[in-house]
Amino acid sequence: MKERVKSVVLAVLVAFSLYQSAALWSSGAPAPVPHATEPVVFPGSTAEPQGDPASPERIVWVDATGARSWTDPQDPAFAQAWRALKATVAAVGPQALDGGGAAGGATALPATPRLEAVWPDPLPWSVIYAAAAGHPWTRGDGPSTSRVTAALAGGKAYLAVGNLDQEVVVELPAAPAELTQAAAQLGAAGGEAVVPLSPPAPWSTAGPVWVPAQPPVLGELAVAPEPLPEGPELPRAFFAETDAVRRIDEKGGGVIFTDGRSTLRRDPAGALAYDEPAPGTGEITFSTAQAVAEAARFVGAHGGWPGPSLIWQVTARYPAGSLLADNPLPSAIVVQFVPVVAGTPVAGPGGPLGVLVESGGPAGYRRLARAILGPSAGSVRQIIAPAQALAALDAAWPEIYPGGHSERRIADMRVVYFSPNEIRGRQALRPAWSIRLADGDEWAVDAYDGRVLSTTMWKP
Amino acid sequence: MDWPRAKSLLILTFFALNVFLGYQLSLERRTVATSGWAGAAGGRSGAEQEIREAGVRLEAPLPAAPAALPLLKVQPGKPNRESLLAAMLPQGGAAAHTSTPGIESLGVPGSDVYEWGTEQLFIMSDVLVFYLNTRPDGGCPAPSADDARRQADEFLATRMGGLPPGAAFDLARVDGSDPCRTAVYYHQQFRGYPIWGKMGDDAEPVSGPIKVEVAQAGVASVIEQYLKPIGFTGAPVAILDPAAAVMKALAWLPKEPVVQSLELGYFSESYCMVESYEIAPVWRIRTPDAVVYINAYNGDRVGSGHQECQTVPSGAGGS
Repeated sequence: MKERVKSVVLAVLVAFSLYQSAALWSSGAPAPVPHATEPVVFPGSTAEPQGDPASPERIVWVDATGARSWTDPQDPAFAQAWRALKATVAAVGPQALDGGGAAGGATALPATPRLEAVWPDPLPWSVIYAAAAGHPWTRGDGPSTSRVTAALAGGKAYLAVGNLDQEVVVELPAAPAELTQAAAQLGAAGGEAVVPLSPPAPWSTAGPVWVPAQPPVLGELAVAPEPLPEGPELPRAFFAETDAVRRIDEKGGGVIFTDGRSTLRRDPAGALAYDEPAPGTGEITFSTAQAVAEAARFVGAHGGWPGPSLIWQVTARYPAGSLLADNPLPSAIVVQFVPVVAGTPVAGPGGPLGVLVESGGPAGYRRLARAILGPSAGSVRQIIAPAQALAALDAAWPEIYPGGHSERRIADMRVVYFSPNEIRGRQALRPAWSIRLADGDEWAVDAYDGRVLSTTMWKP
Repeated sequence: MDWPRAKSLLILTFFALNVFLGYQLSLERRTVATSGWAGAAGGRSGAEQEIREAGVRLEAPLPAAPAALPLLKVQPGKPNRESLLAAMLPQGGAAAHTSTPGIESLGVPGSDVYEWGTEQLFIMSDVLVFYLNTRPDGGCPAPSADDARRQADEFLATRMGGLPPGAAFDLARVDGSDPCRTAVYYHQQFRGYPIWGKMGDDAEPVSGPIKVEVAQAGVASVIEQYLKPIGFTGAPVAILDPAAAVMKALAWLPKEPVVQSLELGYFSESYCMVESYEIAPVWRIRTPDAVVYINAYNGDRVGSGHQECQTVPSGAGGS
C-alpha cells in the first residue's frame, strides 16, 4: 500500500515538474545575454588586423636603367623594402614632410635607382607618416599623396613625398644602411615588370599609372558569404548593453536591431550597416591619421578583420554648403578597407569595410565581407590588356553616361577580384580591371571578357 | 535494485525540483504582472520629494511599477478590408477606385484609393488606413474635447467598422498642426499595458495608433495603423522607476511642469515593410501642454524625429 502511494506521489511530482517547466519555457525568458566586455569577432575574422592596413599596396623598384618592377606584400623583398622606407621616413621626421618643403630640402629627386611605395588611393601625409613612423601624426594632414619615393645617389638618400604637382624632396646626408640593403635585394630579386600606362585615345592619364608589362595570368577566387553569427551574438558585437536591444524583422529577410539610439541592420544579402546618432556634430579637428586609427580600432572591436586588408580610400565629407576654396574642416571622414588576396584587392560592392568617423568618433559602419575559400580550380587564364579594358569601357560609355561625360583621364588602373553585391553559396570571383577616373568615378571591366561592371560602393 | 529506496530518492529530487521551478515561475510572473503594479520604486515618498524639489508638481501620486519588463513583440495589423469598405463606401453610390502599382524596385506594394464626393479612403501597403474628407472645415474654434470624442466614437463605430480589439479612447486635444481641429487619440492595450504609437502627421508623438481629427464640420480625417501584439519576448530587463522617468523628461517639459499623469506602457514607432518587431516599455508623462515618452530602459526620449525603419537598404551594397 505504502509503495502504491509513493508511486502516485512520484507520478504527480513528475507531472507537476513537467507542467512548471513548460510554463517557464512558454514565458519566453531566455538566459540574459552577457554584456560585451571584449571585442566580438565573427567566425573567420581576427581582432587584430593581419598586417598593417595602412601599408602600401606595392613597392616599385626602379633600377639604374630606369626599368621598373614591383612587389606586393606576399614577397619577402616587400617587407624589407617597406621597413627601410619606414626607417627613412622616421629619420626625416614629420616636419620635413609637412607641406611646402623643409630645411635641408632638395629640389629634385635623382632619377635612379629608387624605391616607390604606392598606395591604392592618395592619402593625406598624416596617414602615411603614421603608418611609417608607427605613431600618429597629429599636426594637420598635409597634402594627399599616393607615393613615397626613396632614391639613392652618391652615398646619400633622398625622400620624396607627394604627387607631380606638389612634391617635397628631402635630402639625407647618409643613406640608411637598411635602405641600401633593401635596394640591393630588390635589384637582385626582381619582381613583376611594370610599364607606364599608355592609354589609347581619347584616354589620358592624370600622373603616372603603372601597369604590368605583360597582362598577368590569373585564376578565379572562390568565396562564400561571410558566416555571420546568428541570434544575440550579432547585436552583441555592436551594442554594449544588449538587454534592451529590440529586433525588427523586415519583409524580405532583413533584420534591424536597435536600442532606440543606434541601429544595426543586416540586409538580405548579408551586408551589415551600423549607425550611431552623431556623438559629435562639429568639425573634425584631429588628423586623418587619427581617424584612420579610430576606424581600424572600430573594425577590430566590432566583428574583426575578415583577412589581410588595405586602406582602399579615405574620403573627407564637408558640411553642406561649404566651399572647398574656403579650406573648410571636414565634418566626417570615411575610411574604406578592402581585403587583399595574394596581393590582389577584393573590390566592388561586396568586400570593403567602411567606417564613418565624426568628431565624436566612429558613427557609421558598413560590412559586406566574403569568406575567402582560395583559388578556384582550373580557371587560370591570361587577362585582357589594359588597352582592351579601356576600349570596352569606351564602347559602353554612352550607356553608362547617357547624359555625356567628358572626363577620360585615368587616375589609377589596377587588377582586382571583383566582388558583386550579392552572392549565393560558393561563388567564383573573376579578376577585373578597376579604373578610377580623375574626377573620382570608378568602373570595373571584367578582365576575361571585357564586360563593364558596376562598382557601386558605400560612399558618403 | 532497491525500488522503495529509489522511489523515495526520486520523490525528494522531484520535490526539490518543483520548489525550484515554482520559485522561478513566481519570479517570472511577478515581473510581468499586468495589474497592481508593485515595483520597488513606486510611490516612494522620497522619490516624490526629489521630483518636487526639481520644481515638478504632481497631480497624481507616483504609480507603483514592476522592477523589470520584457520587450513586446508586435506585427503590423492588417485592416479588415471587406468590413471597412462595406461600412465606409456609399451604399448604392459609386466610388472611384484606383490602385497605384507601387515601387517594384523597393518591394513596396501599392495603395488602394477610393474617392466619392468629398471623401477619400486610402489603404496603404495593407497596413495603414487613411480617411480624408476634403469639405471645408467650418472654421474655428476647434470642437470641445467631449464633442470631438463623441463624433469620433460615432464615426469609428459607423463608418470604420468599429474599433479594433484592444483599442480604447486615450485622449483628445487641439491638434498640433491645425488649431481649428481637435485630435482624438485611441491607443491599444495588451495585458493591461497601453500601447501607444506615433501618428505620421504628428511632429512629436502624442498617442495612437488611431487618430481622428474633428473640425467644426465633422470628422475631417482618420489615420489608423493597428498593431497585432504577439506577446512578451526576451528576459525582463530593469526599468527606470517613475521618479527617474520624470527627471529624464524634465529636459523636454516646460519649467515647473504640472504632471497630470504618469503611465507605464509600450510605444511603437511607425515602421514600414516589416514582418514583426519588438517594442520597448515607456513611461508617458502628460502635462497640460505636452506629452513626453521616455524609454523605460535607457531614459531616452522616444519617437522624436528618429526614423529607424529603412525601406531602401543603405548597407555596403547600397548606392
